[in-house]
Formats: sequence, structure tokens, C-alpha cells
Amino acid sequence: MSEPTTDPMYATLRNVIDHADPVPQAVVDAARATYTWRTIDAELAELTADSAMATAGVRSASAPRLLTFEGAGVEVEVEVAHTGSTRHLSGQLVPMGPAQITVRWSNGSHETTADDLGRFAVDRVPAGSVSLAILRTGADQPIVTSWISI
Amino acid sequence: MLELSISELLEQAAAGNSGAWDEIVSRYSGLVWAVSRGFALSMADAADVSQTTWLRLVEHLGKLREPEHLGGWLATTARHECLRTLRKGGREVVAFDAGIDIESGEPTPEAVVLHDERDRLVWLSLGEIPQRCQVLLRALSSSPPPSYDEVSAALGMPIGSIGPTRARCLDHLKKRLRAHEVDTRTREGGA
Repeated sequence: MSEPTTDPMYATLRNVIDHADPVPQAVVDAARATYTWRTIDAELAELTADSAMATAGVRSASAPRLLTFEGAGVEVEVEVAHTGSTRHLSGQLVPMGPAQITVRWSNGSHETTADDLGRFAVDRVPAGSVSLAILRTGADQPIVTSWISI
Repeated sequence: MLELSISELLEQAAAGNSGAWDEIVSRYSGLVWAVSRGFALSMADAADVSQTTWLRLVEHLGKLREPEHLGGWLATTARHECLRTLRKGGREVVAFDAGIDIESGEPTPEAVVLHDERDRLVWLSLGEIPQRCQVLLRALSSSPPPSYDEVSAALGMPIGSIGPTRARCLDHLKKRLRAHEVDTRTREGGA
């Protein structure tokens, strides 16, 4: 702390929070394990739009969520629909073109392909953190999208 | 590894040293958790935000503009993810099947028994003050103690406002405690 917190209430508060709501060990373990998703040769496509962040009056709770990622000269649009506790993803690569796509989540992944028009779809993706690794036909470096919770 | 600066740890983690990564997680998992729970997210959602925040750091290893301000970067990322989670419509809040079994393994804070009555009332009162104050007080109470830079990032608030806001938030807390007839002047019976 950059200045002393003399009020004894701070010590009480720290003690109470430590006991009532410590970081669960499973959360710390999972944070350590994220390191296995380190990619050293991939370009990053960052999230540039998320319909969930639109103001409440504009969005509808039942409408699919739209995500846009951009980077390395590629735009990836992904629509997220809820099917119970899993998610259905349908996407579009811009510019259009075929690609190998790996949908990655915390403890698994699924391979699929984008067709000649750059369209792809994946069913039964678990809710939680997700990222796509995309290798366009003819490209030598994959593109990974920023991780996002769906 | 404790003697290494955060910039050095990041450099080593980016180069493939998983021990350096574990040390970074040890230093900052408390802050990330405090931010998420301060926003009143459920255990499952807070775990989700924590996971996404750390995955974001993995993808940005070697690319951070100011590695020495990692704590602030993590707090900002966690805050944005909390807001995203809160705004997401139509989400089944309990669904958390990303490999972390919290529901069955860990007691929820609500289920935790604080044997000391005063502690129990402090915990109860913390949940009754404005959300911004909950984030602030929880971030300030995280372990190891965060810098003002990190707390400022957790709240999206200028550093200069933290001191006065902290004092106001403590007043809110004490007011709630007095409403529960807890003596706020001493530590007797608590801590």
C-alpha cells in the first residue's frame, strides 16, 4: 500500500474476506493451466465488437450474440447461440476462403473447416472461455482469436 | 523466484518457463478474484472471468506495452470481463463446465460459517454497501496488498480519487455495521 491504512477496520476486513471468500484452489490451478494454451507462432485477432456490450435498450436477450475479431488482415465474425448449457457457433471469415479451424476451450478442442465462402459452424461448444485458431489455406501462420467467455 | 521483478517473470514466461508463469499466477490470482467477486459475480461466473483474464494474458505474453504494470492490466481486463458477464443476456448462470469443478468441491462463501458473530456481520455488511465500494474494499484487501495503480485499474478510477473514495466506502461499511449494532471503534471480538 502506498499509504498506511491505520483504521483497524481494514485488518478486520482482510481477515474476514480471507476466511469467507478465499480464491478457490481450483481457480488458481486453472489459472496455472492456461499456460498450456501459449502459442508462439500465431497472429492475434482481437475482439473489436460484441453485441453483448450494446446498451440494454438496443439488444434483445434472446437474440444470438455477435462477436467480431480483427487482426493479421482477417476479420472473423462469430454468432453465438445458446443450446442449453452448450453453445452453437457459426462464423464467417473475411476475406472469404477455406481454412482449418480449431475451436479451443479450457479443457478441450474441436476441429472443423471453413468452406470456400469462409463459412463455418460448430455445435456443442461448452459454455466458458473459448478461442478459435484459424489456418487459412495457403497461409503458413495460424491466427488465434482473443479468448472470450461465451 | 521471489526476487525477480514482474517484467523479468513475464519475459521468462514468454520464453517458455512455466515456473515463472506459476509465480505470476501466485502473485495476482488474489487480485483478479477480488475484482470478480467485488462485482458480485457468482462463484461460477467469477471463476469464468478469472479463467478468461489469465487466458488473455497467455495470448499477450511478450506483447504487453508496460510489463511492469501487469497488475493494473490484469485488473482492467478482469473488470471489463465482469462488465461483459453482467451485460450478457440470457445466460444460464450456473453453467460452468470448463473443467473447474467448483459446485461439488468448494464450499460457497454463503455456506462458510464464520464462527465469530462480529466477523459474520462484517461479511454481511460488506455485501450491503454500494457495488463500487465492494470492488474497492475487496481489491484493497486482496493478498498480496495491491498498489494504488492496480486498485485504480480495478475500478476504472483515477489514482487521486482512491484515497477519498476509500474513506467514504469505509464509512458506508461502518454505517451498515452500526445498523447491525456492531461496535466499529475497536477490534474487540473480531479479527
